[in-house]
Amino acid sequence: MVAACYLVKVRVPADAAAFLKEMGGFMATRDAANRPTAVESMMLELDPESGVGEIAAAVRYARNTVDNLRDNGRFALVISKVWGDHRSVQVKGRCLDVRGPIQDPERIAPRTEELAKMLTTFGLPARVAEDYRSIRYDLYYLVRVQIEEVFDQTPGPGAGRPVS
Amino acid sequence: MIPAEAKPAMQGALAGMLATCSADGTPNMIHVSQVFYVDPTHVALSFQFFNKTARNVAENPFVEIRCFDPKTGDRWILEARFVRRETEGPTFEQMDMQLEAVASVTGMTGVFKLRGADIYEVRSIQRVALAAPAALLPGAPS
Repeated sequence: MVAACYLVKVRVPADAAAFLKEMGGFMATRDAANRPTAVESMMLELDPESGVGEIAAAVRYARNTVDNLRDNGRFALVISKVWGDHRSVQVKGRCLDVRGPIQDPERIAPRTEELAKMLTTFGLPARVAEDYRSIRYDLYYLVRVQIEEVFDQTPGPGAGRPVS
Repeated sequence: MIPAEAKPAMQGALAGMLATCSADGTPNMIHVSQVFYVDPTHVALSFQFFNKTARNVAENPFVEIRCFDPKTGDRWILEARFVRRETEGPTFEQMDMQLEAVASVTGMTGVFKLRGADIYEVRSIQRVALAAPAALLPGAPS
Protein backbone atom coordinates (compact mmCIF):
# COMPACT_ATOMS: atom_id res chain seq x y z
CA MET A 1 0.00 0.00 0.00
CA VAL A 2 1.25 3.50 -0.87
CA ALA A 3 4.37 1.64 -1.96
CA ALA A 4 5.66 4.33 -4.27
CA CYS A 5 5.93 7.06 -1.69
CA TYR A 6 9.19 8.10 -0.07
CA LEU A 7 9.13 7.47 3.67
CA VAL A 8 10.87 9.86 6.04
CA LYS A 9 11.72 8.34 9.40
CA VAL A 10 11.78 10.42 12.54
CA ARG A 11 12.75 9.71 16.11
CA VAL A 12 9.88 10.52 18.47
CA PRO A 13 10.95 12.04 21.82
CA ALA A 14 10.35 9.46 24.55
CA ASP A 15 8.00 11.63 26.61
CA ALA A 16 5.92 12.45 23.52
CA ALA A 17 5.77 8.77 22.58
CA ALA A 18 4.53 7.86 26.06
CA PHE A 19 1.96 10.65 25.99
CA LEU A 20 0.65 9.60 22.59
CA LYS A 21 -0.19 6.13 23.94
CA GLU A 22 -2.04 7.39 27.02
CA MET A 23 -5.51 8.09 25.68
CA GLY A 24 -7.81 8.38 22.71
CA GLY A 25 -7.66 11.18 20.14
CA PHE A 26 -8.50 11.91 16.54
CA MET A 27 -6.87 11.06 13.23
CA ALA A 28 -7.35 13.16 10.08
CA THR A 29 -6.94 11.80 6.57
CA ARG A 30 -7.80 13.34 3.22
CA ASP A 31 -9.13 12.23 -0.13
CA ALA A 32 -7.72 12.82 -3.61
CA ALA A 33 -9.38 16.25 -3.71
CA ASN A 34 -7.78 17.26 -0.37
CA ARG A 35 -11.09 17.01 1.51
CA PRO A 36 -10.23 16.05 5.10
CA THR A 37 -12.12 13.71 7.40
CA ALA A 38 -11.52 12.70 11.01
CA VAL A 39 -12.01 9.53 13.03
CA GLU A 40 -11.81 8.68 16.72
CA SER A 41 -8.46 6.91 17.07
CA MET A 42 -5.77 5.90 19.51
CA MET A 43 -2.09 5.05 19.32
CA LEU A 44 -1.68 1.44 20.45
CA GLU A 45 2.02 0.93 19.76
CA LEU A 46 4.86 3.30 18.95
CA ASP A 47 8.58 2.65 18.59
CA PRO A 48 10.22 6.01 19.39
CA GLU A 49 13.46 5.14 17.58
CA SER A 50 11.97 4.21 14.21
CA GLY A 51 8.78 6.29 14.44
CA VAL A 52 6.72 3.27 13.38
CA GLY A 53 3.40 3.00 15.20
CA GLU A 54 0.04 1.27 15.18
CA ILE A 55 -3.16 3.33 15.36
CA ALA A 56 -6.61 1.93 16.07
CA ALA A 57 -9.35 3.85 14.22
CA ALA A 58 -12.96 3.31 15.31
CA VAL A 59 -15.00 1.86 12.44
CA ARG A 60 -18.27 3.35 13.71
CA TYR A 61 -16.95 6.91 13.49
CA ALA A 62 -14.96 6.45 10.29
CA ARG A 63 -16.30 7.73 7.00
CA ASN A 64 -13.84 7.34 4.12
CA THR A 65 -10.73 6.96 6.31
CA VAL A 66 -9.60 3.64 4.84
CA ASP A 67 -10.22 4.73 1.25
CA ASN A 68 -8.16 7.86 1.96
CA LEU A 69 -5.30 5.90 3.51
CA ARG A 70 -5.26 3.55 0.54
CA ASP A 71 -5.38 6.48 -1.88
CA ASN A 72 -2.56 8.61 -0.52
CA GLY A 73 -1.56 7.38 2.97
CA ARG A 74 -1.35 10.84 4.55
CA PHE A 75 -2.53 11.20 8.14
CA ALA A 76 -2.35 13.45 11.20
CA LEU A 77 -3.12 12.19 14.72
CA VAL A 78 -3.68 14.48 17.69
CA ILE A 79 -3.85 13.45 21.33
CA SER A 80 -4.92 16.16 23.80
CA LYS A 81 -5.66 16.40 27.50
CA VAL A 82 -8.40 18.91 26.88
CA TRP A 83 -9.88 18.23 30.32
CA GLY A 84 -6.55 18.07 32.08
CA ASP A 85 -3.41 20.12 31.66
CA HIS A 86 -4.24 20.86 27.98
CA ARG A 87 -1.07 19.17 26.75
CA SER A 88 -1.49 18.31 23.09
CA VAL A 89 0.79 16.45 20.67
CA GLN A 90 0.22 15.97 16.95
CA VAL A 91 2.07 13.53 14.70
CA LYS A 92 1.96 13.42 10.92
CA GLY A 93 3.17 10.85 8.47
CA ARG A 94 2.17 8.08 6.11
CA CYS A 95 0.22 4.86 6.32
CA LEU A 96 2.17 1.63 5.82
CA ASP A 97 -0.80 -0.75 5.87
CA VAL A 98 -4.35 -1.19 7.15
CA ARG A 99 -5.82 -4.32 8.74
CA GLY A 100 -9.18 -5.20 10.22
CA PRO A 101 -11.75 -4.40 11.27
CA ILE A 102 -11.16 -6.30 14.51
CA GLN A 103 -12.12 -6.13 18.18
CA ASP A 104 -9.24 -5.56 20.60
CA PRO A 105 -10.80 -4.51 23.92
CA GLU A 106 -7.72 -5.39 25.99
CA ARG A 107 -5.52 -2.90 24.16
CA ILE A 108 -8.26 -0.30 23.63
CA ALA A 109 -9.56 -0.21 27.22
CA PRO A 110 -6.65 1.61 28.92
CA ARG A 111 -7.03 4.51 26.50
CA THR A 112 -10.81 4.78 26.81
CA GLU A 113 -10.57 4.51 30.60
CA GLU A 114 -8.21 7.48 30.81
CA LEU A 115 -10.65 9.76 29.00
CA ALA A 116 -13.73 8.29 30.72
CA LYS A 117 -12.26 9.28 34.09
CA MET A 118 -11.70 12.82 32.83
CA LEU A 119 -15.27 13.09 31.55
CA THR A 120 -16.70 12.42 35.01
CA THR A 121 -14.44 14.96 36.70
CA PHE A 122 -15.53 17.55 34.16
CA GLY A 123 -19.16 17.20 35.23
CA LEU A 124 -20.61 15.29 32.31
CA PRO A 125 -23.36 12.80 33.09
CA ALA A 126 -22.03 9.45 34.38
CA ARG A 127 -23.88 7.77 31.50
CA VAL A 128 -21.61 9.53 28.98
CA ALA A 129 -18.49 8.13 30.65
CA GLU A 130 -20.02 4.63 30.73
CA ASP A 131 -20.99 4.83 27.07
CA TYR A 132 -17.48 6.01 26.26
CA ARG A 133 -16.00 3.05 28.15
CA SER A 134 -18.16 0.72 26.03
CA ILE A 135 -16.42 1.73 22.82
CA ARG A 136 -13.55 -0.57 23.78
CA TYR A 137 -15.76 -3.32 22.34
CA ASP A 138 -16.19 -1.51 19.03
CA LEU A 139 -14.60 -2.67 15.80
CA TYR A 140 -11.35 -0.94 14.85
CA TYR A 141 -9.13 -0.67 11.82
CA LEU A 142 -5.48 -1.20 12.71
CA VAL A 143 -3.34 1.29 10.82
CA ARG A 144 0.43 0.83 10.80
CA VAL A 145 2.11 4.18 10.24
CA GLN A 146 5.48 5.81 9.73
CA ILE A 147 5.65 9.06 11.69
CA GLU A 148 7.50 11.82 9.87
CA GLU A 149 6.80 14.88 12.03
CA VAL A 150 5.96 15.55 15.69
CA PHE A 151 4.48 18.83 16.96
CA ASP A 152 3.75 20.25 20.40
CA GLN A 153 0.24 21.58 20.00
CA THR A 154 -0.42 22.68 23.57
CA PRO A 155 -2.52 25.87 23.45
CA GLY A 156 -0.47 29.07 23.52
CA PRO A 157 1.76 31.13 21.29
CA GLY A 158 4.10 28.15 20.74
CA ALA A 159 1.37 25.83 19.49
CA GLY A 160 2.59 23.98 16.43
CA ARG A 161 6.27 23.92 17.43
CA PRO A 162 8.09 20.91 15.90
CA VAL A 163 9.58 18.64 18.57
CA SER A 164 11.11 15.90 16.41
CA MET B 1 -29.64 22.69 7.41
CA ILE B 2 -28.55 22.27 11.03
CA PRO B 3 -31.29 20.37 12.93
CA ALA B 4 -32.52 21.73 16.26
CA GLU B 5 -31.26 18.65 18.12
CA ALA B 6 -27.70 19.51 17.09
CA LYS B 7 -27.73 22.89 18.82
CA PRO B 8 -26.68 21.65 22.30
CA ALA B 9 -23.41 20.50 20.69
CA MET B 10 -22.88 24.01 19.31
CA GLN B 11 -23.03 26.06 22.48
CA GLY B 12 -19.38 25.84 23.38
CA ALA B 13 -19.82 23.50 26.36
CA LEU B 14 -17.32 20.97 24.99
CA ALA B 15 -14.30 21.49 22.77
CA GLY B 16 -14.80 20.41 19.17
CA MET B 17 -12.44 18.94 16.58
CA LEU B 18 -11.42 20.46 13.27
CA ALA B 19 -9.77 18.57 10.41
CA THR B 20 -8.18 20.67 7.66
CA CYS B 21 -5.83 19.97 4.78
CA SER B 22 -3.12 22.10 3.22
CA ALA B 23 -2.86 22.68 -0.51
CA ASP B 24 0.01 20.17 -0.66
CA GLY B 25 -2.24 17.46 0.82
CA THR B 26 -1.05 17.34 4.44
CA PRO B 27 -3.95 16.82 6.86
CA ASN B 28 -4.09 18.69 10.17
CA MET B 29 -6.19 17.96 13.25
CA ILE B 30 -6.83 20.30 16.18
CA HIS B 31 -9.15 20.88 19.10
CA VAL B 32 -11.17 24.07 18.91
CA SER B 33 -12.41 25.66 22.11
CA GLN B 34 -15.78 26.60 20.68
CA VAL B 35 -18.20 25.43 18.03
CA PHE B 36 -20.92 28.06 17.97
CA TYR B 37 -24.31 27.97 16.24
CA VAL B 38 -24.76 31.04 14.01
CA ASP B 39 -27.81 30.27 11.85
CA PRO B 40 -29.39 27.21 10.18
CA THR B 41 -26.53 26.90 7.67
CA HIS B 42 -23.51 28.37 9.49
CA VAL B 43 -21.36 27.72 12.55
CA ALA B 44 -18.48 29.75 13.97
CA LEU B 45 -15.25 28.31 15.36
CA SER B 46 -12.94 30.18 17.71
CA PHE B 47 -9.73 31.38 16.09
CA GLN B 48 -7.18 31.88 18.85
CA PHE B 49 -3.67 31.37 17.56
CA PHE B 50 -1.94 32.21 14.30
CA ASN B 51 -1.29 28.68 13.23
CA LYS B 52 -1.26 25.98 10.62
CA THR B 53 -5.05 25.73 10.62
CA ALA B 54 -5.44 29.37 9.59
CA ARG B 55 -3.03 28.84 6.71
CA ASN B 56 -4.79 25.64 5.66
CA VAL B 57 -8.28 27.13 5.45
CA ALA B 58 -6.88 30.07 3.48
CA GLU B 59 -5.45 27.60 0.95
CA ASN B 60 -8.23 25.02 1.07
CA PRO B 61 -11.55 26.04 2.66
CA PHE B 62 -13.03 22.54 2.94
CA VAL B 63 -12.98 21.12 6.48
CA GLU B 64 -14.63 18.57 8.72
CA ILE B 65 -15.88 19.62 12.15
CA ARG B 66 -16.84 17.24 14.96
CA CYS B 67 -18.73 18.51 17.98
CA PHE B 68 -20.22 16.73 20.96
CA ASP B 69 -23.53 16.82 22.77
CA PRO B 70 -22.69 17.44 26.45
CA LYS B 71 -25.70 15.46 27.69
CA THR B 72 -25.27 12.33 25.55
CA GLY B 73 -21.75 12.41 24.14
CA ASP B 74 -23.21 11.93 20.66
CA ARG B 75 -21.04 13.18 17.82
CA TRP B 76 -22.16 15.60 15.13
CA ILE B 77 -20.03 15.44 12.00
CA LEU B 78 -20.15 18.54 9.80
CA GLU B 79 -18.70 18.93 6.34
CA ALA B 80 -18.14 22.64 6.00
CA ARG B 81 -16.47 25.39 4.01
CA PHE B 82 -14.63 28.38 5.47
CA VAL B 83 -16.39 31.61 4.53
CA ARG B 84 -14.85 34.51 6.49
CA ARG B 85 -13.32 35.67 9.75
CA GLU B 86 -15.21 38.15 11.93
CA THR B 87 -13.33 40.25 14.50
CA GLU B 88 -16.30 42.23 15.74
CA GLY B 89 -20.08 42.04 15.84
CA PRO B 90 -22.57 39.98 17.83
CA THR B 91 -21.17 36.52 17.05
CA PHE B 92 -17.63 37.58 17.94
CA GLU B 93 -18.80 39.31 21.14
CA GLN B 94 -20.79 36.29 22.34
CA MET B 95 -17.93 33.90 21.60
CA ASP B 96 -15.41 36.20 23.27
CA MET B 97 -17.48 36.36 26.45
CA GLN B 98 -17.99 32.60 26.47
CA LEU B 99 -14.31 31.90 25.81
CA GLU B 100 -13.31 34.03 28.77
CA ALA B 101 -15.63 31.95 30.94
CA VAL B 102 -14.18 28.70 29.54
CA ALA B 103 -10.63 29.99 30.13
CA SER B 104 -11.47 30.86 33.70
CA VAL B 105 -12.98 27.45 34.44
CA THR B 106 -10.13 25.53 32.78
CA GLY B 107 -7.24 27.59 34.13
CA MET B 108 -6.37 29.05 30.75
CA THR B 109 -6.95 32.72 31.47
CA GLY B 110 -4.36 34.72 29.58
CA VAL B 111 -3.79 31.84 27.13
CA PHE B 112 -7.21 31.59 25.52
CA LYS B 113 -7.87 34.83 23.66
CA LEU B 114 -10.33 35.11 20.80
CA ARG B 115 -8.71 36.67 17.74
CA GLY B 116 -11.57 35.92 15.40
CA ALA B 117 -14.83 34.08 14.87
CA ASP B 118 -14.30 31.89 11.83
CA ILE B 119 -17.58 31.42 9.98
CA TYR B 120 -18.15 28.13 8.15
CA GLU B 121 -20.98 27.18 5.81
CA VAL B 122 -22.31 23.74 6.78
CA ARG B 123 -22.66 21.55 3.68
CA SER B 124 -23.77 18.36 5.43
CA ILE B 125 -24.36 17.19 8.97
CA GLN B 126 -24.60 13.68 10.41
CA ARG B 127 -25.20 12.36 13.93
CA VAL B 128 -23.33 9.34 15.31
CA ALA B 129 -24.45 8.10 18.72
CA LEU B 130 -21.83 7.53 21.41
CA ALA B 131 -23.77 4.58 22.78
CA ALA B 132 -23.35 1.79 20.23
CA PRO B 133 -26.24 -0.55 19.44
CA ALA B 134 -25.60 -3.85 21.28
CA ALA B 135 -25.61 -5.70 17.96
CA LEU B 136 -22.47 -3.82 17.01
CA LEU B 137 -20.60 -4.85 20.14
CA PRO B 138 -20.22 -8.65 20.19
CA GLY B 139 -18.60 -9.70 23.45
CA ALA B 140 -19.61 -6.62 25.38
CA PRO B 141 -21.25 -7.17 28.77
CA SER B 142 -24.99 -6.50 28.51
